[in-house]
Amino acid sequence: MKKSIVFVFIFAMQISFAQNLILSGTVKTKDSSIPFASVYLEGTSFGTTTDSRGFYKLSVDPGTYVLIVKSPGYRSLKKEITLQNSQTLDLVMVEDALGLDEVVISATRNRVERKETPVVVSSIQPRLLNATQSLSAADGLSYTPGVRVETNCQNCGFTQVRLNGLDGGYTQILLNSRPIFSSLLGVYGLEQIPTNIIDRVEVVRSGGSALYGSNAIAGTVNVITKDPVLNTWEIGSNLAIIDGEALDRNLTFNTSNVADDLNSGVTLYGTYRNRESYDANDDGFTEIVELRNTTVGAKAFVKPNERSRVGINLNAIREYRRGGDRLELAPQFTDITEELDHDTFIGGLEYEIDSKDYTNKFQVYSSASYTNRDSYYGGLGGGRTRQDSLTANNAFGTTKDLAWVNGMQYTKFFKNEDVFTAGLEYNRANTEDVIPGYDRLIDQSVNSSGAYAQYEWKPSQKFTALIGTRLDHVVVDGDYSIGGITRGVDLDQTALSPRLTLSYLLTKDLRLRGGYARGFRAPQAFNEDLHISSVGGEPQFVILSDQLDSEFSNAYTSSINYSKTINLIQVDVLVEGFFTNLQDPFTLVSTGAVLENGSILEEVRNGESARVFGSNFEFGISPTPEWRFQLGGTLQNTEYDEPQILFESDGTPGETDILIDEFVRVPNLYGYLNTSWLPNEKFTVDLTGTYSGEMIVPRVVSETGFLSLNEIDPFLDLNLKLESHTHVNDEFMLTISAGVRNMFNSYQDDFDRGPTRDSDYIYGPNLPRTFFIGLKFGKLH
Amino acid sequence: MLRLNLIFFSLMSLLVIQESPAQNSKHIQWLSFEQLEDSLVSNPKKIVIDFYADWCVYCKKMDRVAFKDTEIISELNRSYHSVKLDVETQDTIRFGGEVLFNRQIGTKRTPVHDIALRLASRPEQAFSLPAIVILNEDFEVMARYFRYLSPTELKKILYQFSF
Repeated sequence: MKKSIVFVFIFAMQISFAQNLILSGTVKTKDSSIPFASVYLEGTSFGTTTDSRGFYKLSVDPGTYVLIVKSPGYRSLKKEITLQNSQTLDLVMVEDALGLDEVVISATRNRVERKETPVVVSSIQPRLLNATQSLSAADGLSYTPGVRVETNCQNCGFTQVRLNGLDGGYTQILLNSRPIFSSLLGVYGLEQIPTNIIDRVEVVRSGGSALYGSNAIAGTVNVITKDPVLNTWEIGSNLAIIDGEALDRNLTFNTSNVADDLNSGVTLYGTYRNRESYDANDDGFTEIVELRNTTVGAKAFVKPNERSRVGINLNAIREYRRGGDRLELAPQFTDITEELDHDTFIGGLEYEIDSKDYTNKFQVYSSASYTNRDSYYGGLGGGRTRQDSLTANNAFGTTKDLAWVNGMQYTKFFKNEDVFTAGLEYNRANTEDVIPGYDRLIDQSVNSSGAYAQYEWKPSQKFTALIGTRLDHVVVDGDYSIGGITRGVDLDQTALSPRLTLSYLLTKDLRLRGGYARGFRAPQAFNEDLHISSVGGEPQFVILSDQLDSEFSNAYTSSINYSKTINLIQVDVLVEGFFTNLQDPFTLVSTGAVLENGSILEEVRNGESARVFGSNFEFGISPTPEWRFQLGGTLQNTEYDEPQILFESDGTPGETDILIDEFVRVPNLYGYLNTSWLPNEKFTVDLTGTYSGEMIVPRVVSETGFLSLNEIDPFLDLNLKLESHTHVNDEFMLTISAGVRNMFNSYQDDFDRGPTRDSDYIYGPNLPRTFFIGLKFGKLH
Repeated sequence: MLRLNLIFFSLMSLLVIQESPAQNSKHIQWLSFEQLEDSLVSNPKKIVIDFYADWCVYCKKMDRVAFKDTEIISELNRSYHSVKLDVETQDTIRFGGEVLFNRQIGTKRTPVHDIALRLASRPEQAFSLPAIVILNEDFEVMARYFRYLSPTELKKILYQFSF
């Protein structure tokens, strides 16, 4: 019996016909033989597997064949052969470096391997969000080249994402590939997505793909939420102490249940966060605002059959934030208060179906978000007059915001691996922001319809071209008023935005890419224009100027990517050049204290054309699975063609117009560092940090709104985190972590003081030195 | 051959009766390859091999669902020898007169053992998990599955090949 136990293979079993030729030989690399490689003739049943010495033997009929040799870890070999007589043929295979086979959606909206995407996609994994102790999506984003997350207000803590130095409005933020972040939600939205529901964040710099909106000029940030397979549950809690003074408490939970046949499943999650306000300079006014956020959500799917899937997601976010002084009083009795109470509901439904042979795919989706917000932007401003009190009592406002995204998409996969994608989109955004006391109104509706088509052409193994275009028709109807000044936008515009990306595999480790993208933004109030800051004890408003033209951009990128796996060593190097030219960019110009009550008004105007150019780099090496190092950053310049006016003087003695020839708040050098040591499954150490170089930050220095341009020194924000993981049994695991953020306390030291401060004068790391501990338990995996 | 099969079948039925405590067990009697070799001599049965790895989330799901199903457990214990192998194992496996190693250790981050490469590699595709291989008493491959199998699917397969 023992002798009858021999290895017989499914392929070898097929060889049972009359054949008279023997093809044999050895499959090998330059140095050694390759056992267990598959050797077969294409389109026939002739095939075998090499033995432990790499030897193969095939009995075949005479004829001409394509011989194929495959083995995991090697590049497949294809060879045409004509067989007349039995012969010996040795086959030499080349090793294949497949170090980076994670699946990426953003670049082409279809799942492909990251290394092969025509567009460079930087992916932020949950490991990194965890290593950097990120509580929200906004925190972890800086750990990818070209991205900086900055805080823009001491009173409301509003953050924005700068990509390649361009501010928030140039980046499209997507949730599961859908642009549901409306103009209002964009202001605080990224801070409202808890990290426990994030699977990964994909960043695409420059608008290389035609599939995402025309306003994705700087790029897209796509937050992808988890798609579970296992039944798990998890409860986590974090406690942080900001500079030994303010507590930040956080509680999260999530649980997933997926049916045994994987045809349906649900994930439920929730987060509660309570952060106390922090005052860095003891002037009684906040630098970091008080924050309370409760998020609950559910995500479910059902597969009516093998080829189709229905997905639904529902989220409710309640967020309260307040900054200024004397937070314990009602806002109208304080000198400055910004108080925002958001109530947001997001819902989405999608359906996708594949054809029987999986070569055609059709998707249809609809998502909506609705936010109801109560706001208070104001206060006594240091004065105690009757007028101050009256103004303070009337600074309450309400906002209603609706974003509705609908679309359908068709994808065709060709036999030669070419992919054609086409789709239609209809998006609607309505924003109504009213503060009666200031006579302030934003009543805006933006309707945009878009059609896009894209062809991914792979004429050879080495070359890929992604050719696409989108046609957008945008209708903006907006009424804007503040303190008696009334403006409007009534625009109906159609624009064509072509996109092209080329990718060429120079050697098996080296890939070159190049791309061009045209983009445009229709004039409208973007998220930062809804924000009201506080300057000189008065609110500072933004209003659109009349006769705004659309803004157009041309973006060029080129990159070289080297990735190689040598045994256990993984190396990845990316160097990317970018050049973006902005025509008539929307620019904020301060017109000084022109409103009746002395408030400062900033106008959105078509600014001077500008160029943004530079280089992003990323260097990653992992010598063994225990060690990972990553260093990345950006070296860049911004230039206006003509000096851009930032402040328009009204002729007050000692004040002049302020002109600038580069962008403010954009350093020429910034980057990040990310080091992990994972000695075993029980313990990990992460050292992470960001660096931001010198930059110019404007600060309002007089009641008239006059600016000084301050040169800011560099910051190095380093974090250390230790984590220990205990596997109690298969049903219960425990993770304990502790560490410090911004260990060298590299923090802004010249905050403006008191009720008349410029609340926008905040820059640098968003936290001073902060110690934290965390606990997570459950059936984690 | 048919007669042989009949003999096997009757023999197996006898063995089944003798081994009734095993089939009532709440756990699958997982064997190693070395144990399999001995078991095949003393008790020829068809074989189910489950290749898995720590990084394979669908394998984990199968462990928790299909391989916990009481009907599947008793069918596996009754009609099959069940073998389970972590493809990343560093162990040297002696089987069928050969000595097999995991020669990818030190060169790959997810090193796959030679025995798994031999039994669960496919032409034109990279090695993937889950991989379930069903073999007859002579250790000839009858079927291979390279995807997640729900309890219903696995039950169907086990009944289909048990005769």
